[in-house]
Amino acid sequence: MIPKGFLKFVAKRTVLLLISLVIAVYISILLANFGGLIDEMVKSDLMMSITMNVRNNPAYQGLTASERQKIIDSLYQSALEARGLNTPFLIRSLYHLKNALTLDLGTALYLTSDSGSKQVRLIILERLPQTIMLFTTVTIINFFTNLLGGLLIARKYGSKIDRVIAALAPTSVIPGWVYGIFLILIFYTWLHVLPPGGLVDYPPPKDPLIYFLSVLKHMVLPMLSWIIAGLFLGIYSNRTFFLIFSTEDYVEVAKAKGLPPRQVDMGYVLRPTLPSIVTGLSLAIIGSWGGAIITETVFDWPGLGRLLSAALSYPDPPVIVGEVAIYAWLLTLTVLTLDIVYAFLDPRVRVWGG
Amino acid sequence: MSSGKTVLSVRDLKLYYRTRKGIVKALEEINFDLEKEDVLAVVGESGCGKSTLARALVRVLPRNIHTYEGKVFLNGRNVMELDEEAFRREVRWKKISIVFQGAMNSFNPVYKIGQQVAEPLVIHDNVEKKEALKKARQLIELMGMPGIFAERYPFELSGGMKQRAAIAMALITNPEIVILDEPTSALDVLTQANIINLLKRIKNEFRLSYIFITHDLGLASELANKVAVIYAGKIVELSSADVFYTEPKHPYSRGLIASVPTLTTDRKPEFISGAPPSLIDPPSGCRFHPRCRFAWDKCSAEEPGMIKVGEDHLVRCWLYGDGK
Amino acid sequence: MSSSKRVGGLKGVLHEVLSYKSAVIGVAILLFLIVLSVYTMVTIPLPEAIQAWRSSEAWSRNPRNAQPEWVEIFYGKKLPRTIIVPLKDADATKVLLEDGRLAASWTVYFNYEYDDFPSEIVMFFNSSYSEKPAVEIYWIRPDGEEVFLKKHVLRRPDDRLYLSNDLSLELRLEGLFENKVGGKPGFMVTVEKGLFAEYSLDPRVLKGRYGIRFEATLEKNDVLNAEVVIYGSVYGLAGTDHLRRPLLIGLLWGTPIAMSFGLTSAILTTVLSLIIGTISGWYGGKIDLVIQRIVEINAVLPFLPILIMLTTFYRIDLLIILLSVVVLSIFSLGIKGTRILVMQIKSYPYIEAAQAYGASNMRLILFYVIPKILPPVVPGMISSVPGFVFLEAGLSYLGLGDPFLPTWGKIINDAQTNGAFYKGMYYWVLEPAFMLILTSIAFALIGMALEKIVNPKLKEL
Repeated sequence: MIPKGFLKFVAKRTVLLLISLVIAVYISILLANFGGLIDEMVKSDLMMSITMNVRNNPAYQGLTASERQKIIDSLYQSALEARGLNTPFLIRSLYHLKNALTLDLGTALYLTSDSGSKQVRLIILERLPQTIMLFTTVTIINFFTNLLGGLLIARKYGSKIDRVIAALAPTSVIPGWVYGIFLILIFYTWLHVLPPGGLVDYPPPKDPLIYFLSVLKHMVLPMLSWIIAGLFLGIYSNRTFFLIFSTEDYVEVAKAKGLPPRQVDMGYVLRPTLPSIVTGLSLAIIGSWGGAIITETVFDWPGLGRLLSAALSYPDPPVIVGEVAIYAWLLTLTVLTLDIVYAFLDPRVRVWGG
Repeated sequence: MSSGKTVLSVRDLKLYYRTRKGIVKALEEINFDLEKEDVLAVVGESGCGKSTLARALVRVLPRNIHTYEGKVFLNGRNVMELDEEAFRREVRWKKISIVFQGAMNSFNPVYKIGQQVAEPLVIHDNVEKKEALKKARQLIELMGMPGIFAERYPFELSGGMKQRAAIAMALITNPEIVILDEPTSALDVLTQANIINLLKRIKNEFRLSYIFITHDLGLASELANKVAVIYAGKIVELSSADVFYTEPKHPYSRGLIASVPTLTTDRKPEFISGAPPSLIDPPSGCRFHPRCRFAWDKCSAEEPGMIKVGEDHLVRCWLYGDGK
Repeated sequence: MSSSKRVGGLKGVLHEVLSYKSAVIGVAILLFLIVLSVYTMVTIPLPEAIQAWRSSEAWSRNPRNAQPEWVEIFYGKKLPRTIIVPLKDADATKVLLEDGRLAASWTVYFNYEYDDFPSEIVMFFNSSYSEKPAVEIYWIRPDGEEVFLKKHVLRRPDDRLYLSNDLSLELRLEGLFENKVGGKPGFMVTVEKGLFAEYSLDPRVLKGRYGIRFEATLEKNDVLNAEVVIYGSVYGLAGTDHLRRPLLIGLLWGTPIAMSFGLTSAILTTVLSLIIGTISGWYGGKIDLVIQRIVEINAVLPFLPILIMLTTFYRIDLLIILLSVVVLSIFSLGIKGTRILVMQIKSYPYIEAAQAYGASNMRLILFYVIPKILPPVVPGMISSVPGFVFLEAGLSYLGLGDPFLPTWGKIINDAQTNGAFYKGMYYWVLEPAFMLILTSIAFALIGMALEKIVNPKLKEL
């Protein structure tokens, strides 16, 4: 059922993107390790765990301190060799690369996960769902609002509301977190209606339904700030697209063919415009991963972004490097998804294999 | 050639549309009859209103339409009286279909060719999709292309192929009249010839009537048995093709004929001086008078009506009316 | 001939830009910001500004977290400015004692006509002595009543007495109030309220002429100098922050910093991107493939996290931040568009003709290709400036960015860290936010107008 060209395209893109991901993370590692920071992280982490193991190992209980130290040292040396940490800079970085890609980044210096673990991987993965939840919800809302808004306004071309939207388009140059600050000032500092941040009320409600509603309440302002930031420009550019695309010849042909107006709008105006809309959307989405970091910080939302700004305040290098890696992963998945969606919408890409 | 049965009768069709600079009087006093298996060539310069006429007949109107009136009798029935929905269901594609100029962009880029050719069947005749696709494929093959092309996307076809597909699409609901708006102007000469031959063939096979819009007089002479010359939104001459090509009466028609280079004689092609007039503020009286060699006072003062100069031959020119 | 055409073109473009109302507003705002920047750079040279921003001593006479003076319009009452009463202006009496010491007394007066209470009262001493003198301080109310404040032994020559934090003084004043009023007043009696309020159940300012008297016994060569600072609750055009720094300096200096960062990043990024895209499209082949790959890799390279990583791990200043931002931005997806355009142009006959007469690649690129692809890129460049301005602001907000420079983002960061949202100090957040928005809207308006001009299809729409 699925055309072969499409599958080939997906496979090719996935491979290419994964290669790009590996190279990107490698570059990040190189940048991070310029002062040997990652080497130190890994080494001290190693030393700590070996020391702990030896101390707790009953087999070594009867030994003197210096004998134990000798064991620790020799274990440490062989561990260094096993992990290639005695090798030159570039090769060492490859070992770090492998670790970074799998988020196997040892222990954090200061931060802990909610479950008490200091494992960087757990800390990061714990925050992942909250970010995904916020991000994808907003993206979906944005997509449909801007799409429908664009369609509606395109129909009212030349009217007052059309001009109002056009005049308000520059407001989208202001990033979501600035709107977030304003929203907090209005809805919390002034009106005391909504919370200024966090995931859920404190103390967290026991009842799952109330808990869920509380989370929703905390999601309102962050989502609103994001939505407002993209709204007017989004509607305006979609409306422009629709206007341009509705003057295409094949739209006239469709009308002349006697197709019902609904079908002309959906099939001959909307459908061919979707690839352009998705392109515009991709740039916005890819850009908003970065902005999300600051937005999460403004709203104290316990996601990846908040984690990153917490980590940088100490600073806690293992967590920071881990964050860079996971964001690289998220970006790769985003780009891949958008490429697939685009291929689905635009047959030219499928047939020509991208 | 023509069977004598009148399929289409247009009376006083008028179309104006609004622009920022004023109201464009795109079509005025359009009157003609089309009989079964007629090929009416509608000729004129760019911007004279030929394409507007094509769209006016299928009621595909611009957003800034101002006036749209007149009578269009289809098999005796005035379809201008039908509301939009009735017109859509009964007239569009079922009775009149259209092949647009430059089929390059006549097809939706994201749907397959076969699907678009089959679409009118599904919409108008409630045919099941599979059946419709089968018929579409048959028609495509009839047009001289492999049936597998139905599975292709528009960008995979050449200009000539798309034009054939567009013709197939225009025929699928067995309309009586097909309007061809410059169907070959974007194609090379060889493909052009092929398409014209194809059009001849299917006209005979399906017993169609054509309204063939073109600026190319030579091309028109291949197919047409009737000619209507449009200038500045009005028909200035209407006659059978034979008469038109041997004895054009209107000065504009004569100018057009004279401007066609000939292969066999030594005659140098002439040109018509001046430029087409603005349709917002057309010249007073006869719209052609500023460019006419024979114009005199009456021409700028009063607009001539269509004057009968022979059997089925009408001319809008004072030269043939009240005399000089 | 071509140069005059270009100039004519520029004038024409300017004329067309100004035909859009939105662009006129944008240009007006831009001019205002430029004038502001130049004014700031001239009147407060940067090294001075940085030093002042980092020092606390320079602002010791400013009130802390003061609102801007114009907010009193909204309150409808006159809000207090800071009053500095130097002891040198005092009426002094000195009496020589038998043991050679001086019994001195200074009394200074000042008028207080404001409708609200001061925020803080501090006494700054500046004296020299052989033995630490004991100073008795009395407070004289407009109705003549004298209140004994404190007996304070100077701890050092430049000692400071923070009356506002003095709990015993506060309790004493509270007791005094209750006596006078005959019950517990309806407000909390702070030191400021205790000294300046009428004796009533509601807090009302007692306006009039106040006096402060210092009495001390000094050795022969002792010098006692002091300054009483009665801090207001408003200051200047923009108010002050938690370190008493006038926010105006931050706002003013934020302007040239933001503008130069934004413009430089935008111009560098656009130009370099253009060059890379041109090289990719012109030379094709392997170079093209390599550049395409780099663009792909750049797409999955997390921009902000890497920037954060760099600023956290290494000590970098604004210039390095700018360079990093540019490097990370030039391999953007915009290159694809440039590339396609260049490939199209390359196939034009006039390029072939030029190649035929032996024009070098460099010449072709500079004089044939670039002039064609430059105009469509300019609106995008202008429109990208706000993005960079907000990027710098965002980094400063997170606490990264140059730690020494006063930027708008840093002010917002200070505000949030010091509880502006909880305490309702709107001005602290709104002022820098307003500047950010003003700057970006200006560029956005101009950019959008330019886009309409460059892309004629959009003009009708």
